[in-house]
Amino acid sequence: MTKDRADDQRIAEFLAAVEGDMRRSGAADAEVAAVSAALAEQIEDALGEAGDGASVEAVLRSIDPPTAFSGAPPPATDRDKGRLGIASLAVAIAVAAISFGVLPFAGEDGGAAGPPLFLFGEAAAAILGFFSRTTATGRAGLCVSALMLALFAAAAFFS
Amino acid sequence: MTEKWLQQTRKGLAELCVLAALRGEEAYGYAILKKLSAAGSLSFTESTVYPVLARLAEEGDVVMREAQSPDGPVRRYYRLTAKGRRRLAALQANWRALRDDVDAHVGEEP
Repeated sequence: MTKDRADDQRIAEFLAAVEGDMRRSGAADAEVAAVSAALAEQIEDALGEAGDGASVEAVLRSIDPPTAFSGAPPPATDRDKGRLGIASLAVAIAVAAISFGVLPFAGEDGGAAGPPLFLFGEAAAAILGFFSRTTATGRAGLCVSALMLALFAAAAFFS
Repeated sequence: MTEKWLQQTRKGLAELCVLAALRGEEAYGYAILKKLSAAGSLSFTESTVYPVLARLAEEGDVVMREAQSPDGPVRRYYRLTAKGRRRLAALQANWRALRDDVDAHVGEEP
């Protein structure tokens, strides 16, 4: 078959996904290059064998998915979310602890820097928690930071 | 359960089978894959064969050369080295001993 630019792009994306997954799982550069080259040869051959009716998508579907080449460790995205969740909970608790320990309540006696630092810290924890809300620690971080922000808003409203 | 066991077993045998596929002549990755896939029960796929081939090259059991194929595109051809032949012989001996022992063990009716 004759490939067009979109076909070349699709093949390049597939190979890039394979290479990315392998690198993330710690594969050596030489191994990544060899696997990618072998796949490129296979795709060319398979397209040639299938004749004019071949489609790049069908050939790519017949090959193992990119994640299969990484030695099957836990997906990097899940690991990253786990770390984000832990960071969210740690930041939320640390900012709350520092604020309540150092300041009687954020903003009251902490000087001019207190409230902005408190708000910034808890907002950062809430954002981290939001992006890792599929993990238990992420949800906990989100809850703690939301509670702290609500307390801050209530204190500001009633003072 | 059975499928998982089969996958693990195939994975363990991949190195021996890739080395054996190169015993007679040099070949490129896809040709090796097709050769191994033709043996029905092995069901090797790209994600098993190509990384094994790459690691064998890294360890000096096979060497690679790039050459124009008869069909046109450049391909990476692999062939066994002397070290690879010794490794194949050792793995074959281990496999035969293992196969015979397992056969003797599981062949008995309960």
